Amino acid sequence: MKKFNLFMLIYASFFIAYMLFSIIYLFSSIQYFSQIIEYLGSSEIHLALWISISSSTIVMIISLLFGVPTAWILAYKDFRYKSILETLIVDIPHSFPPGVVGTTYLLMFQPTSFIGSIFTNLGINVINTFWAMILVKTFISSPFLVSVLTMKFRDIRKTNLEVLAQSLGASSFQTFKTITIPLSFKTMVAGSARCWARALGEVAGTIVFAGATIPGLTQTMPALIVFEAQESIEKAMTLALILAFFSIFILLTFKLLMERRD
Amino acid sequence: MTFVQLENITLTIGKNEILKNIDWVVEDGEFMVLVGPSGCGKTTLLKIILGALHPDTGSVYIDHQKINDTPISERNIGFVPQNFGLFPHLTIDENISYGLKVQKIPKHEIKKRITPLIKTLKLKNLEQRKPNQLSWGQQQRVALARALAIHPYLLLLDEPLSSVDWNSRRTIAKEIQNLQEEFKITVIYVTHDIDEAFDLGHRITVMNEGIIQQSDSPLNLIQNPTNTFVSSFVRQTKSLKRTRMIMDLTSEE
Repeated sequence: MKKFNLFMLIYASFFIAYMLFSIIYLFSSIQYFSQIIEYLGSSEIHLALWISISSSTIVMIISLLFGVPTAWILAYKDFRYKSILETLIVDIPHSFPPGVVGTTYLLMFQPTSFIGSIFTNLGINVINTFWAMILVKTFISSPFLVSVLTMKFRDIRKTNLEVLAQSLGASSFQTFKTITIPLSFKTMVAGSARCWARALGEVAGTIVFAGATIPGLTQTMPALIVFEAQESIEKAMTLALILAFFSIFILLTFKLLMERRD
Repeated sequence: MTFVQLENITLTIGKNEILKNIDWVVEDGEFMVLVGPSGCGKTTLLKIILGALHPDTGSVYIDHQKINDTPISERNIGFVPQNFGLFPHLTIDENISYGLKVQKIPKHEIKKRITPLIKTLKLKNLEQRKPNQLSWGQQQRVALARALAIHPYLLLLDEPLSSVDWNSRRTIAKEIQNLQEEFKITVIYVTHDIDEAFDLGHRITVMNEGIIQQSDSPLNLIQNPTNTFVSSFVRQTKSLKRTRMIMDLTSEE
């Protein structure tokens, strides 16, 4: 048993050291800290931060709104080709390069394509807009929520607690509200946090499909970091630190929300 | 008077025929024990009556009403599964009153209904605890109280004593029997233990490989087993009295 513990500890230490070293290195760029205050006053940064956080939050809300019913169907309904469907809508988007997602949407919505022509006729332009960004980010981030929630729902289904609730007179909706949601609440929060964080960090797909150059509309912090890195590495690192602080603050809020639930 | 009636129930899952042409009757107010070896289809049959599973063919009647298409939430059947299935996020009080709350029964009425149950089942002062803070025996009593609170037509108990030690078994079994008499309720009690069946059942149904082998009074099962399976299953008794009885009958033959 001792040998086993030692084995696990050694391998875990490598991983922890690797992750911590990378994060500490980012924060050790202490010479940029003085610039943080200066940049925090810039309206360009304000807007980029606002667009990053608001778009990620909208993506998280959309993912919850549509992802929860999807996870429920995948966990509770048994139908043919379910595993193929699950692979297509949950597993594959995980492994798709975001740049390819952006390009796919770009081709899908160009005015000469079938879908693009419908939108053009309606007088709606999607490319290079805020909603283009939402579309790309949702495709890339929502599977993070759907996958963990599907697993959790499957675990709850195995307990038969919902069958018991229904045998006591609860309708399907009452069962969902009083049993399924409370028992999966922590997973829902954790999955939403992962979805939100993935949407916040997304950059390649956003640049391709949404342009990501219009301040206050499509320019996000990660995109700004990528653009700035070509001009000034100091500014890019400073912006990265600002983004990291905001993201840590919000992810810790999610964690606190989960702990309060306990 | 017939209360539960199953007609020609069959169920196949994958390639396995779990239930084969089940015809079965449980009388009103009866304590029926369904006994058989593990995997013989007892729990599946219970789940069909409950409405958690649907048979491939056949009909389920309760009080002469066909209930095949009645949703589980409208059957008003109390169910206590093997692991008790208490809602872990709710307190004992919330667990017991769950069925009444979802049926939108007024608060004062809920209190009126669950107070005597809490008293009868010795759950006083435990109301604000969570299920994981209770002993196994207490959890079982909560599950019983929760099932009885909805005033069910029928109570289904799936091996409720399987994980209780031998000493507590008799006491809890007696408690269940008293409750059945007090609430005048029809009970179907599933077990794989023949002695538990003999101790509790007004009648006993022996099941094997998805088929009902015999449904009879305890005495008749010993005296007139319909086939070799029933006769050998009945002989698994650990009770000296019953073993003697079987031996006497065999020697008379």
